[in-house]
Amino acid sequence: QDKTVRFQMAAGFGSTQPLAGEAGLDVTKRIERASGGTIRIKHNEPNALVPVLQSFDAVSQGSVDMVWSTAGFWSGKDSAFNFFASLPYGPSAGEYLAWLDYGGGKELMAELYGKYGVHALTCGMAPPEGAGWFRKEIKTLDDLKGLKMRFFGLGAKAMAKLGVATQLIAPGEIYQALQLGTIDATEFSTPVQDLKLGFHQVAKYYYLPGWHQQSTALELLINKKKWDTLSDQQKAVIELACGETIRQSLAYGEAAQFGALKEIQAKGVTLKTWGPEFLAAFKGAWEEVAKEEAASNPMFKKIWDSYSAFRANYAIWRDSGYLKN
Amino acid sequence: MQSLLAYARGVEAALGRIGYLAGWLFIADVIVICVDVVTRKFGFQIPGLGSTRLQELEWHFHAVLFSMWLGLGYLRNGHVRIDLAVARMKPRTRAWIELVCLFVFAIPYCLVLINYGADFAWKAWVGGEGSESSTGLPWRWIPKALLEIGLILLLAAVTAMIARLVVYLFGPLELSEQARPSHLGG
Amino acid sequence: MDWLIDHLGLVMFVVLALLMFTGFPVAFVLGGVSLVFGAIGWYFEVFNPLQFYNLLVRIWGGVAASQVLVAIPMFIFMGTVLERSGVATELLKCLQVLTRRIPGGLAMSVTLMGTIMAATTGIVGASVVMLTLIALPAMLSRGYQPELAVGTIASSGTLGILIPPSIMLVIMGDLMSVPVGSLFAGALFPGLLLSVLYLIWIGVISFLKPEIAPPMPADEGPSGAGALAAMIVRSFFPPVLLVSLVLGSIFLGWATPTEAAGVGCAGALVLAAWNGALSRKSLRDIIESSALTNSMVFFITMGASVFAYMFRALGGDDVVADVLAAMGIQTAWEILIFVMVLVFLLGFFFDWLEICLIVLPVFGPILAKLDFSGHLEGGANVFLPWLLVVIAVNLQTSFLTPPFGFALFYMKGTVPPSVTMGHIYRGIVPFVLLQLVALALCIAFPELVLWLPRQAGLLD
Ligand code: NA
Ligand code: NA
Repeated sequence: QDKTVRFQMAAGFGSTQPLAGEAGLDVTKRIERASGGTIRIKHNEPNALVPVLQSFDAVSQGSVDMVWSTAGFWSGKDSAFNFFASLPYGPSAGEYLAWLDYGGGKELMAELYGKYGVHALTCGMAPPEGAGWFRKEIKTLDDLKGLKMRFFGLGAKAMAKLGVATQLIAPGEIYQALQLGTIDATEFSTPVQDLKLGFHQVAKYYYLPGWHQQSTALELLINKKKWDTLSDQQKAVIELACGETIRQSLAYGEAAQFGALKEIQAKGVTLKTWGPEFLAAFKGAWEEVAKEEAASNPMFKKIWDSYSAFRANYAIWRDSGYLKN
Repeated sequence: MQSLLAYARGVEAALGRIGYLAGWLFIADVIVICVDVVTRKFGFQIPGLGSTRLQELEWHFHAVLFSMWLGLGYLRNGHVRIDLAVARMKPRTRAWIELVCLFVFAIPYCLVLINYGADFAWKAWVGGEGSESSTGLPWRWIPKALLEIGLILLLAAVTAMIARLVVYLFGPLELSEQARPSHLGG
Repeated sequence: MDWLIDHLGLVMFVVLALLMFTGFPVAFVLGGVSLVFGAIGWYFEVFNPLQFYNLLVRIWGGVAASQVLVAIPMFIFMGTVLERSGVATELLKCLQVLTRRIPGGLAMSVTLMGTIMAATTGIVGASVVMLTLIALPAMLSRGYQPELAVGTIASSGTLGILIPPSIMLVIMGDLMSVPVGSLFAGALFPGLLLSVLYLIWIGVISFLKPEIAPPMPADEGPSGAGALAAMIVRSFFPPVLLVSLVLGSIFLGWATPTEAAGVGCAGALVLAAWNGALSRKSLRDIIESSALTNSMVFFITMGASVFAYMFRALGGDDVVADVLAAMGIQTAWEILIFVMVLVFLLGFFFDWLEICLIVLPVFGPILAKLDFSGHLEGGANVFLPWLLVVIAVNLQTSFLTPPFGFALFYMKGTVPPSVTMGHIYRGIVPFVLLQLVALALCIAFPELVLWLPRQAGLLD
C-alpha cells in the first residue's frame, strides 16, 4: 500500500467551464479513485492559489504541486511551449497525438519542461476553436487592415502581419469592449466554451474554422521532485488517468460542438467560414512567423524541425488514407 | 545616535528623490494611454509599438511606480493605520509598539519577499522571459527587477524608521525630539 | 492543541483582528501576521515553507502585472489634479448653491456623482479614492458631520461594482459560467435602487437633523440670476465636460474603462492648466500626493492578497465547507440564506475576490442545482444570474464592513487626520443597513434583478 500523498493543484480554467475546465476537475477525481485514495488532489480554481499566468513559476518552484493548463500560457517563458498546446495550421487531434507519442514530441516536451523542473503530461485534447467573434462581416482581406482584435498566442503575430491591430484587453473588459466597439473582434475558444461567455450577445458573426488553433492539448504539470516521490504504481495511475482524460475530452469536445453551434445560430448569430483567399493569407502569414520564430529561438527551431518533418511524412497518409468527404 | 539619525535622514532623502522621479510615470502612463486610444481609433499602429505593447506598457509603468513608493509611503505615513485603540496612548508607548511590530512583522515580510523576488527577477533574466502575448513586450526582467528594488527600498525604509525610533526612545533629549516620527503626532 | 493546528486559519483571523488595532500600518500587519502563521504552520508541519514563494507570485501576478488595476492610479491622479487645481472645489460650491434648499443637498450631489462615476469604472478603489479626494474636504469645510460625509462617499463610491462595468461581475460570471451581459443588465437596477435608498436616507436624516448637514446660508454664494449663471458656466461645465469625455470615450467605443480613466487624467490636466493651476511646483505636489495615496492602496492590496493566500493554505476554506456540513441544512432557502449570511460575515475580513473564491467553488455546484422554480420564472439560465447578482449586492457590504473594508481603508488613507477610523466605522453603519435592505428586496422581488435582462433577451 502506497503512502497517501496530498497535492495542491492550481487550475488554469474554472471547473464550471465546459471542456477545458470540467476535464481539469474530472482528472483529479479519476486519479483519486484509481489510486484507491492514495493520491488526493485539491483542485483550486483559477487565481485561488496563484494567478493563472504565474502558476508555471509556482509549479516549477514547487510552491504548488500540480497545474492544470494549456502550454500556450507559458509562451512568455519560451515560445517553444506553443508546440505542446497548439500552433496555427496545426494538426488535428489524431496527427497531433501521433507526433507526440511516436514522432519525438513527447521527448522534446520532457526536455523543454525538464529545464524548469516540471514533469509534464499531455492530459486532454480539445477540438478546433472558433476563429473568433466579429461585430462586422469580413468580406475582403482589406477588411482585416486596422481591425482591432483581441488575440492571444502565436496566431496574433500572423494576424498582425495582415494588418490587424491586435489588442491585449484584460479579460474583465473584453465583453464590454466588444459590445461598444472598442474592439471589433475577439478570439476565444471552442463553440461550446464560447457560448457560455455570452459573446453572442454582442457580436453577430462567428467565424470558423479556427485556423490558429486546430486542436488544443491540455496538460497536467507536476513539480518534478514531487513526481519523483511517487511510487511506480502511483505514476502509472496518473498516466492512465491522463490517457483516459484525453479520450474523454476528445469525445466530449466532438460531441458538444454541433449543439453549441446550432444554439449560437438560434441566438441570431451568423456562422461564417473563411474563404480560400483568407485561409491562404493566414497560412502565408503564419509561415513567415514560424520562420522568424525559428530563426530567433533555437529551442523553437529544434522542435519545429521535428514537427515539420513528421507532418511532411504524415501528409501522404493524410492525403491518401482519408476520404475527403 | 547622531549617525543613526543621519542614516534615517539619508534614507528618507534618497527614497524621496527616487519617488519623485518615479512619480513622473503617472504622466508617462497618461501619455501612453492617450496614444494607444488615439492611434487605435484611427487605425494606425506605431511600428514596433502596437496596441498590445502599449497596453502592456501601462501596467509596466504602474508596477514600477507603486513599487518605488512602497517604502516612501511608509516613511511619509501614507499607509493606513487603525489608531482607534492607541490614539490616546503616550507617544513613547506607541513608539515601542511600532518598534516591536517592525521587528516581528515588517522585517520578516520584507525579507521573505526580497528573497523570492531576487530569484524571480533572476529567472526572468536568464530565461529571457517576455510577454505571454506573442505581440507583447520583451524583457520581463525589467519590471520584475524593479519590483525587487522596490521591496529592497521598503526594507530600507523600515530600517530608517527603526533608526529614528531608537534615537527617539533612547537618544539624548534634543536628538530625541528631532527624531520623533511623524505618525506619533506633533 | 490539535484543534488549534486544524484551525490555524481561523486563529490567524482573530489575531489579525486584534493586531490591526495596534496602530501599525494595516498592510504590514496583514503581511506580517501571515508570515508568522506560516512559520507556526511550518513548525506543526501543516505548511510547507516553499509556499512562501506564492506570496511573491501573487503580488506580481495579481497586483503588479494587472492591466485593469491601472484604473486606480489614473483615478487617483485625476482626483488629485481636480482637487489641487480648484476645479473640484468650484464644482462642489456650485452644487451647494444649486441644492441649498434640499436637506443634505451636497451629500446627495456626491451620491449622484458616485453613481455616475460607477458607470465609468469597474474597480471600487478607483472611485472611492477619487470621491474622497474631491468631495470630502468640501463636505467637512461646509460643516457636514464627518460620519455622514464618509458614509455617503464610501457607499456611493462602491456602487461601481453593481453598476456596469464591473470587474467583480465579470469574475463571478467566469467562475460560474454565466454570460457577463446577463449579470451587467441584472445588476443595473439593484445598483440604482441602492443609490435611491442612499438619497432617501440622506434626505430624511438631514431633514430630521439639519445640524449634521448644514445647508449653505442664504447670504452666501452668488446673488441674482446672472451671477448664478456665470457660476454655473465657470464651475459646472468644465467638470461636466470631463465626465462626458470619460463616459463618452467608453460608450463611443474609443476606450476601455481603464483607458478612459487615463483619458480623463489628460482632460483634468488640461482643465487645471486652463485654470492656471499647473505650475511646475503644483505638478510636483500633485504627482507626489497621488503617488502616496496610490502606494497606500497597493500596499494594502498586497497585504490582503498575502493574507488570503495564507488563510487558504492553512485550511481556512475547508473550515467553511465543514460548517455547512455540520449545520445540516438542505432546503433551497436554507442554503441560500446560509450562503448570504456567510458572504456577509466573510465580508468583514476579506475582499470580494477572495470571498468569491472561497464561496463559489464550494457552494457553486450546490447552488446551481437548487430549485427556486416556485419563486422565480425560468430555469437555470434565469436562476444563476439572479443568484450571482444577489451575491454581488451582498458583496458590496464587504467593502464597508469593519474592521476590514477596503473602502474604509482607502478613505482613511486619503482623509485629513481630523477624520478618525471611529468616524468612518460609525458613518458607514446606516449605509450597510441600507444595503441589507436592498439585498432583502432583491431576494424577495427577483424581477428587480431579472426584468432588465429579460427585456433585453439576455436570459433566453
Ligand atoms: Na461600474
Ligand atoms: Na469588510
